[in-house]
Amino acid sequence: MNSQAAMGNGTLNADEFNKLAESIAVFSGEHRLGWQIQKSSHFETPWLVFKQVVNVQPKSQKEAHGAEESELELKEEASDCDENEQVTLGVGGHDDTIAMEYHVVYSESYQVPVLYFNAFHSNGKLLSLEEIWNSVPGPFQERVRLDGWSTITQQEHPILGRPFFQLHPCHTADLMKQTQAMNTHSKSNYIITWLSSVGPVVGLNLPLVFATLSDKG
Amino acid sequence: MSQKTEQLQFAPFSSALDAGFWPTLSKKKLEEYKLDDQPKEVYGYYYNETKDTYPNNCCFFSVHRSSHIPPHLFPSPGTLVNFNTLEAFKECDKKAVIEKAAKHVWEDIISRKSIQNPSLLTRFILLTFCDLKKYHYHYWFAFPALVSPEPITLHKPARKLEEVFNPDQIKSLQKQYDTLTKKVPHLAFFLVIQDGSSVKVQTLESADKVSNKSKIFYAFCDPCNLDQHPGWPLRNYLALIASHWPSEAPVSILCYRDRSREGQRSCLHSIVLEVNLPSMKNIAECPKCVGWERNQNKLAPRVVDLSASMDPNRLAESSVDLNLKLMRWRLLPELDLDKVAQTRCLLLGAGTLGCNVARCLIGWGVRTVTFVDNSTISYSNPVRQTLFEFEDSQNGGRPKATTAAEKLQKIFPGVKSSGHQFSIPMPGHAVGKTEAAIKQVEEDVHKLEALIDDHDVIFLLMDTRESRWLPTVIAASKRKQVINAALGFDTYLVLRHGMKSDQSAKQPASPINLACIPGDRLGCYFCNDVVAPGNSTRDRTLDQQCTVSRPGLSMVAAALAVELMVSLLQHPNGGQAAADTSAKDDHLNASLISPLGLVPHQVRGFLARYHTILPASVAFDKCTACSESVLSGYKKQGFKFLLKVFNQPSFLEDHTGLTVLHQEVDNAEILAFSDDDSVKSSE
Repeated sequence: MNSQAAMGNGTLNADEFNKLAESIAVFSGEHRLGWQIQKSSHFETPWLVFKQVVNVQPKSQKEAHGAEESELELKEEASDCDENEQVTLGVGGHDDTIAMEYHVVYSESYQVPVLYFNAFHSNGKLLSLEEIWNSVPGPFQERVRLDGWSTITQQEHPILGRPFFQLHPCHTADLMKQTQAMNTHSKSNYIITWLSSVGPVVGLNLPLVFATLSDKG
Repeated sequence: MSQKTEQLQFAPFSSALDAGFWPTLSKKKLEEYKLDDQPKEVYGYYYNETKDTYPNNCCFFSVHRSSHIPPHLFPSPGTLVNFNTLEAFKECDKKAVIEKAAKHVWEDIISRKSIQNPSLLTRFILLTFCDLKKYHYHYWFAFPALVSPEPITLHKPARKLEEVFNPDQIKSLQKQYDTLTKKVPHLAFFLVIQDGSSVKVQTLESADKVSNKSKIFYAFCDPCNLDQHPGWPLRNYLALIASHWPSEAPVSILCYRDRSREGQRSCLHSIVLEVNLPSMKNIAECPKCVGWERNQNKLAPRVVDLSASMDPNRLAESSVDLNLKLMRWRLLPELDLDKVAQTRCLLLGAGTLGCNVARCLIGWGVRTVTFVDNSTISYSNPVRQTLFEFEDSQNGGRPKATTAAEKLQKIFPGVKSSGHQFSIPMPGHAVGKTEAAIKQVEEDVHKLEALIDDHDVIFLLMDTRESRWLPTVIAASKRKQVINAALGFDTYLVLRHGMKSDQSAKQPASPINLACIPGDRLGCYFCNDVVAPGNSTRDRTLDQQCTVSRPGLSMVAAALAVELMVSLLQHPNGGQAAADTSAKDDHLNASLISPLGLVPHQVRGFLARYHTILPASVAFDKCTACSESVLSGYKKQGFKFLLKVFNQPSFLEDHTGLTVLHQEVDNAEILAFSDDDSVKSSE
């Protein structure tokens, strides 16, 4: 309850964020859920990272991929080192996978966690927002068009300095204030509660087992 | 067919690069490697928890020399060769490269090094060339695999784990593997030893000590998820087994796959293979080797264009676009941003209005902005003319038009901006009698005509009334949209010129509803004047010539001018949109508004009272700029007609019939429309 008291207005302080993030990483380690803590020498607060691979329909994916990559300047190597090909299976879906990467970073100015995400092809090329829309299948396709994506901006990851999409934190405190007001008995982990409500619109669905993680970790 | 299925087939690794890979490599190339193209040690990972929905194998590679390997991943030691030129990348002897790596794998097998450290079985090679100007990256992965001199065949079809072990054994296996990985983290190759009903999990080192009575399963963490085939790491593993523990009897292989879903862990999709493995014990030389990754079934490298996410210019563009799209997604789904982006804007005048209009245009995502101005930047300009800085006004001052274009690109490199320094010929400003002088004016006229041709919206942002005449005539005859902004001391006018239609040109006199004037009947800047433009700078004192206006006025008027343009662009009728003369509710019917709201004809503001009105006026049939007589005179006679206008002060009034109508007009009634505070610009 102590830590909940400070969260009455829907915000978190950095210490609370650290504790909650740490408990998520530990819980995730036990259950092999894939969430990890990352630290950087030039950023005080650690952050959470989750990666998942989604496969896309090859058709829409091809459109997204464009022709530039497939038209190679180099000719096929006349090489005798692949004479053994009958034991190598044809490559199935190298280009049909997209990796999604989610980062939960603490924002000092908003005093809330912020969700950054990126999607990229297996060659490391980032997808544009439209490409994510068009190529990632699943139930959130419909949801994204409603209003979830409307607070997305592209900006540099505060620690990594690379471009990421960001769910803007301006509504987080309000959302969490309401959520907390509704669940006065709940001891659920702030980050999990928040992620499970905003995550689905960007393809991030937390496994139900996270619900058993309380604010004490 | 049956023979083909008998031979053991392997699913190759598929490379997958992390989004951070290329940015990191680029940084290293610039700051650390520079021209060093010697092989570098890198680490890759693969995992054995691929979902069944995944097409095939996935192995993610990270370029870091990692001290910290994430849990449940298996390290794969790699060699990175980053070439300095594309030619070197192309010409590098791929066969020699992979053979060298295979030799390493083989030596580590023979020396038993890979028994102690089995990750040496999964070496990889990565050749790269980074074109850091275009942000194009060429790369080719190889996962060297030793080829058995004799074929390896399947003794019987692959079986599921459950068919080989009972549930207790599976549970025990999993538990023991977890325990062992606490001592030996990231263990990818191990032994499962079955003794009656018990199973034991041990490291490869104990293979020599296993008694004959026990059954050995050579286990490895399998990145493949096919139920009949093992993944690539098995190839070198088999070479290791065939070299050290050859057997006449079939060898049992456990392809260990371990995934968790919803927190529920399972390894039941693992498979067990029985293979006939020919011994490699007496082979002296390194076997042949395969492993270059295929690209669309061809042995070829890959290239990826990352300019969209790595070129700062492209990044700025996409961020600007995304910000605008937010407006569409959130508030205005009907908003057509492409239409705005594609609108080419010509700004006549690069003073306070020109600078502010340009800034607002790029805020809306307009990509083509062209300035015309003949003057240079003076010391008093930068404080009001928001694209300029103090240093631009030194040494006589830089030309406004080109400087504004440059500065705009500094703010946003995605904009196509240019500047043209010339004077716009004006009525009543007599052209010299010399041939050279006439030729110069003719050139300027043609330049302006060409520019108006090349643009969609013409902004009139000059400091004198008469300099607006020529572009008004040209734009009206070419049916280009004109947006006019003019400043007094504390009053401003923002006005869209009417857009003539074929109908309005023929029969302009039909009666109209004044509360709602159609776009093709709306007046221009000169329609409300009953004097022709003349030399307004003659016989005036300095304070009359210069703009003396409240500094905030230009920003207000510039912003309104741009917003009016955007509203107009969004209106289904464009320039033909009827004008709204009030913002009253009953006025806001569907035919009058664009998704952004009203499209007034004029916005007149009075700063002294912070008051704005939206008048609309009908085109004047004797207008000195847009009336049919002027337009047809220009069309028929071209420059000859214009020359008369420039040289004879009374020509326009005579031509339009205004002289006949003309009575004394009190000049004070007319708003003083000029915006520039420099003497130079007003000449």
